[in-house]
Amino acid sequence: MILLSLLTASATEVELLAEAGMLANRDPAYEIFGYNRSMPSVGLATAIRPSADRHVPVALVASWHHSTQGAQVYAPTARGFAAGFSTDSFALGPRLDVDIGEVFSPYITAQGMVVRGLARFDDEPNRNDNPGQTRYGGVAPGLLSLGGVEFSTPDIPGFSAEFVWRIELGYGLVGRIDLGDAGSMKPGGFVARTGMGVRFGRSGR
Amino acid sequence: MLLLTLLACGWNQIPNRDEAGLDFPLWDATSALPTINGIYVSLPYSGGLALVPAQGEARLVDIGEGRVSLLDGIEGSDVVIALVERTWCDVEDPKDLRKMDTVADCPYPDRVINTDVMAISTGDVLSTVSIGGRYNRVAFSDDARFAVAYLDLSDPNLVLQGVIDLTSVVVIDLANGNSQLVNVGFATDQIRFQTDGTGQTTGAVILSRSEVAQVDLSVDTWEVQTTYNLTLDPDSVVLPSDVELTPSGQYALITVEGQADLYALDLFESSINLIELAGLPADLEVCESVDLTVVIYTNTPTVEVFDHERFDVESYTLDEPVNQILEGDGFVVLYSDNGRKDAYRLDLITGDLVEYRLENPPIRMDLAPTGEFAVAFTRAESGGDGLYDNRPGMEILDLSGNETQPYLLEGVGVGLAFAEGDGRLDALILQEGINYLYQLDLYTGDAQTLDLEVDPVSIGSMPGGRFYITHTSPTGAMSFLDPSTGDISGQYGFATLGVLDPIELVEAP
Repeated sequence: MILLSLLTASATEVELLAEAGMLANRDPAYEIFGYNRSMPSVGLATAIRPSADRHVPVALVASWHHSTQGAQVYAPTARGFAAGFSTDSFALGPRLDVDIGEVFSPYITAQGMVVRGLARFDDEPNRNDNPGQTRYGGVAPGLLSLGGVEFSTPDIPGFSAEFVWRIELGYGLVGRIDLGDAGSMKPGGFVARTGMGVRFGRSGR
Repeated sequence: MLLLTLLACGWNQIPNRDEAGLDFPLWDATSALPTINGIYVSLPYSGGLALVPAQGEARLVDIGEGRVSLLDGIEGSDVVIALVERTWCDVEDPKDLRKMDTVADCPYPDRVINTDVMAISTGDVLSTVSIGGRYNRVAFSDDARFAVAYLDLSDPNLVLQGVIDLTSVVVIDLANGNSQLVNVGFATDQIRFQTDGTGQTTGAVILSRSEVAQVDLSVDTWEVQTTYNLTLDPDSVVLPSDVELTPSGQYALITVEGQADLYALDLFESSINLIELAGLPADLEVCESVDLTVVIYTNTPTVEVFDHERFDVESYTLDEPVNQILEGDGFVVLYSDNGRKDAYRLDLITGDLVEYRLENPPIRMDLAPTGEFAVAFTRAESGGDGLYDNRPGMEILDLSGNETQPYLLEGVGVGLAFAEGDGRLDALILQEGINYLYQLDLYTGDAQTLDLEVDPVSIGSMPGGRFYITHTSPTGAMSFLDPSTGDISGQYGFATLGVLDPIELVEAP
């Protein structure tokens, strides 16, 4: 409802994007989930500018990313099992951007983050009802600091939506996620994200 | 589009697009140690120790940063003893050390391991004794007063690092936590404890290569009281293979590898008697109830019985050699797990010898607690032509007669326990890869099966009459059985406790 009212409000610019990305995870505890030292993710993002006037260079950005990494784990004298680690990251913060020409705008953003981590282990991944499925969850705060560029299609007269594509790089700092009796996990480090979507409500430049 | 993609990937499935290899399994099903409070199991990957109760949640024992290298129990006590290895990194530059958190961060040559002995009860650490160095075996006295930690070089999993003292053991007084290094000889192999008339431990007999040390534990400062040299030739090496103390504690009876002699060490008079045997000994058993020692031989079809006064011998001729002894009350059952099919019951009081001929060669045999039956798991016989010959089996030996009762099994027998009560004597049988427990009343032959969720590994009894069954699950699975009702409850996933908590380095002492 809120989103709809924002979309219909003529004085508000709204972006909706589907994203893909990654966050590094160098925690030694992460090694059981595979050789990959990063957490690949997909998600959704939105950016809301209170005024469609591009001379106001601040937008509020929010995103949700879901990452999942898993492996078939082998150990001596035991048959293999599945281990997976997934996160849901919710981020919110301001974005400072500047338009260069009609289609190109670099930006920087700093966002507060809440990360929910979930570690899962399954001794028979091909069965759904086996009792040997365990999971440990926890939540930790974090900070996301990103710089990026956004490309958008030129204005189409009489049409208020634009296609946008953006790519951003930066650093993610996540607190240690307490995963109960299993231990803990501290992802963090290099972040890369890219997204495609539409922008509504921009007034003509 | 995005949601469709996610759904297609299977949102709730753990993706297994990657692979990971671990140096250690998450848990060691063979290390299960039953107590009244539950089953203790070591977790080799995380280094920890878990207590798995029959009811309630499994939990970790707080052992600190380290790896449990050995877990052992004291009979009749709910106290378990764990050897915990703690690692510190011996690097010269403190800047390098600041970059290291976990043991994996420290290069192998720089790792230094110290050992703590921990006494644990009801999942809590009662006491910790630091004994330094590297030890992989602990022997306990029957009264739970003393423990002796030593390095067993025959352990195939032993990984040696750094400088190691091979001639000393650590004696620990579990009552007050005192410990002391005692020099006993090169490559300690086996340890037995001496007791006085009241059952209190007074000394330890420690076997090393070519010598035996008798340590006096009744004094404040423990020291070697007598050293017995098993050879006078410094160029020859004598490797003890087995040792038993006689019930009076006067003699230590020792067999050695490749030698047809029995060393009888008189611990009171500090002398050695050498007794000639009928062949190379395969096993030695001191039978306390009749104060006799039974010796069997690897390649000689003979069993010899010695008394403990003059070591007079009674010799019995068998049809086939045997290499295993099961001790009953006043009798022994003898068999071979080396491909032979004969088994024997020898009455040590009357001298009566009964022969049993099994259909297939046994791989394991257990004596029922009443002494009325022995149960043998047999293996398929290569080259056999009958149905029975080609399948794993089980045979019940009726020890009151000379009959055996063979059974075919679906899988190789891997676990056996006995349950008594209500006029029943049940054999609880587990088979490899078979998801049920076979419960057989040995008196009536009545049998039933109890379904199991996961393939079994072993079965053992708990104080209080319950049984626990370990399973093949790599993330931990254990069942608890009440044989009187047939109720089975399960605990699963406990081996993942601590799995995301890598072992950290400790500070240098």
